Amino acid sequence: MILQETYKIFTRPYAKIVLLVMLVLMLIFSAAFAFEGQEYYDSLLNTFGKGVSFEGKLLNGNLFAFQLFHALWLLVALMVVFVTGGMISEEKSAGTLRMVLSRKISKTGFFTARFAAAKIFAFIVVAFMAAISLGVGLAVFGSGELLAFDNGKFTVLTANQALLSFALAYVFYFLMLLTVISISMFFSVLFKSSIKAILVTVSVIMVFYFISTLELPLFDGVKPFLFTSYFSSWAQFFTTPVDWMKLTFDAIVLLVHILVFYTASVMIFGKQEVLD
Amino acid sequence: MHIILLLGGLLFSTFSFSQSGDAFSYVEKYNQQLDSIRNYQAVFTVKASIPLLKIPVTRGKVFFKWPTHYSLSTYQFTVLPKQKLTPVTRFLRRANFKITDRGTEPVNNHPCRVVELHPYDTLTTIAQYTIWVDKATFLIRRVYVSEKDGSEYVYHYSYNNKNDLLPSKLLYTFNYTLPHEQNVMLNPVALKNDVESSRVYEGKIAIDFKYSNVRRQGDHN
Amino acid sequence: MKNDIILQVNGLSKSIKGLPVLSDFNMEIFEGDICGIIGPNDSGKTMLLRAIAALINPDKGKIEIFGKKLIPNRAAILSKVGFLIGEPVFYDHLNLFDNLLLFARYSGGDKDNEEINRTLKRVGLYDQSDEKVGKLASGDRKKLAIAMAIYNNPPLIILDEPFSSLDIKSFDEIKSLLKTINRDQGTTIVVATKRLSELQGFINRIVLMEGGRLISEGDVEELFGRSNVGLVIETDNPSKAVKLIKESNLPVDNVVIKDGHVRVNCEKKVIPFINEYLMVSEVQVFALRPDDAISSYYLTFTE
Repeated sequence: MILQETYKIFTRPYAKIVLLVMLVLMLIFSAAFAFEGQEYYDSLLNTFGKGVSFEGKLLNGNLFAFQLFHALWLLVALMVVFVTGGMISEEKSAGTLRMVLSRKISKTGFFTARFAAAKIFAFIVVAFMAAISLGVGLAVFGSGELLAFDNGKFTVLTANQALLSFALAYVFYFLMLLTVISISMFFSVLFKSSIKAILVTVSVIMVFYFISTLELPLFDGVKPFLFTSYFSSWAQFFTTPVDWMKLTFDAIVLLVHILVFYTASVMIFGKQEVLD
Repeated sequence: MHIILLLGGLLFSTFSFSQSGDAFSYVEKYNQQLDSIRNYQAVFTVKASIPLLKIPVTRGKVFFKWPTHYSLSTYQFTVLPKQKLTPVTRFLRRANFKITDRGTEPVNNHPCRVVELHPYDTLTTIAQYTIWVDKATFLIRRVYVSEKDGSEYVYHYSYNNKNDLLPSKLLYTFNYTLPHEQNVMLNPVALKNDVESSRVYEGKIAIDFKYSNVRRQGDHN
Repeated sequence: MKNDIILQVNGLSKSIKGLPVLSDFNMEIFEGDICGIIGPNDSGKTMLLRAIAALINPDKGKIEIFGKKLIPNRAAILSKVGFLIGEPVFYDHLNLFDNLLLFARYSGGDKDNEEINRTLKRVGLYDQSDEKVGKLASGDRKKLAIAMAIYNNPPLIILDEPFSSLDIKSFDEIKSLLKTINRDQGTTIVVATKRLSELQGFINRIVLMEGGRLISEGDVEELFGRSNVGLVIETDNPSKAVKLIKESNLPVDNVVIKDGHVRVNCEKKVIPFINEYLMVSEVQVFALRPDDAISSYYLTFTE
């Protein structure tokens, strides 16, 4: 059933468009990285003044993947909403939900299968992202130490450390995508219109994320309660030492959100009648 | 330390060497000694402690063969002093500086002659060099470089024994302030946190050398 | 001797936004029946079928299928029922085969290429099995929906307006197919429609509904036997017509004037005599027509 729902996702054009857009963005980025990367990163390293010089190969596959990850993560998350936001509402508006639910499958079973398919889609998106960033990056630009920077701080990771960091970051990012999916499917259950479900999900994420990144004391008390405050925690895997306590807490917060939105969706969906 | 001997002859050919009582002659004496080294190779380990930059311990190697061949390579991406591993003194010419003797001052219990140099060239970014030369061995113990924009770098040299011309350890300290616009570009949030555009940061780079195949003029194979 | 009850609806009520769409509805369908649920638009047919498919939650009443309560045995029951409820919709970007496969799996079945192909052949869509459903004509979409309902030979098939959109040839083919399934496999078939004429010679049981209520139900033969109809007679002189009919020996009941017209209850076969009697008595008869839904359907059916 899950594979069947996954098949349904990939026979729709939206899923292919998301992957295609990711590929196009990667190509654009790789061109910029190859032609202007050195200049850009040299200017970044000017942070440390004229007193030091840096030796070694800075432009490498790890840096390419890291930068691409930074450039794409939020875009990809929003693009995923375009696929998952319609997973229930589209079935409602098209009328296929009536056809499906007059079969043996229960609403909970159907929602869960769709949710699981969305998870597989998210996994494929993350794997695709890893392949086009890390895979292509290493193949084209070679391996090397990773100069990671975030919040004005730089960390140099060995090539092996970088690989481990990427693996953990992708896992965390997958968790973040699952949160996005559970929210989008929640709105997909609430609305009959896919466009409405997608727009509301994207709006909620953008507004919350904006508040999460806004450095105003007014919002300091609110931030811990916004799921978007934990979205970019994957970047912390590229710092040393890794704050495992904080990352574990962040992961638990996201898991709780997934569980809450999933449960709420199943309950609401279970009570909805098929009246189209 | 890393002795680009190639430059040696060129740099000092135009003036005479040490004169008794002239502080700068200590520097020239040191450079002259360096010229006696025919070849060496060394592996080095870099440990950096730089605010806003976390970098693991890295390694590299240098290779020198008289008179001109010098190469430096690192196994990893790493950070080095501004002039990499080339001793600052190698580029100093008596004729280009106003030389002031600042007396003696011990460095790590080694009595040193202190020489202050101010460039005549008004276009250079260098404001001043101060060099501490061991009075007994003519080894350079410390070099202080000040630039016109306020940047300051200090090279501290350590030697395993007094007969070594090549330092076993270099401790390099430098300071910097973050370019404001770059700070904003990197992350506007950082300005509020611990990254302030007016703050002066001090970085340290410690480099340990292990030499092999050191051969001096007059040594036999 | 009646077969076992396969589908029973008791006291079913449902309101949508305060408006009753089903009111205390009762119905019984027996194993092996071909039952027609007949009613005009908005009579509640589709809502009744939605309730049977557990797509809506009734306000009151209960539904039993195969002798078990629909809730909480929904999954077990629906795995043995083939449904077509409302306008058939599919995953238009998939081909016929894949659509049938998808819905087979929603019904709890495994992938069975042979059965899928066999079902497509039965409804005459096998040659188009690789075509995208989005390209199908509406008649073929209906056929595909019927294919989904009959897939894997469920013992109960419930079809909402299965014959609309079908051309005459397809109509005959599908009707014949359903008849064959009923005859050979003993499958119970329930067909909801607003056109009784579609079911002529096809059903053995009839359920008439209007405004969400049951008007009448029973075997077609029984309804034939109870052949009284309400007849409205439009004449130039209703009072005279009433007087004449009452004084006659014609087998009629309840002769009254209602809304300016004469209304009587009588057997169908009496109608020509009433007409003739009034004409010879110099009462001009402008029209003779049934006066309510049940009579209308009945007359239509027995034409």
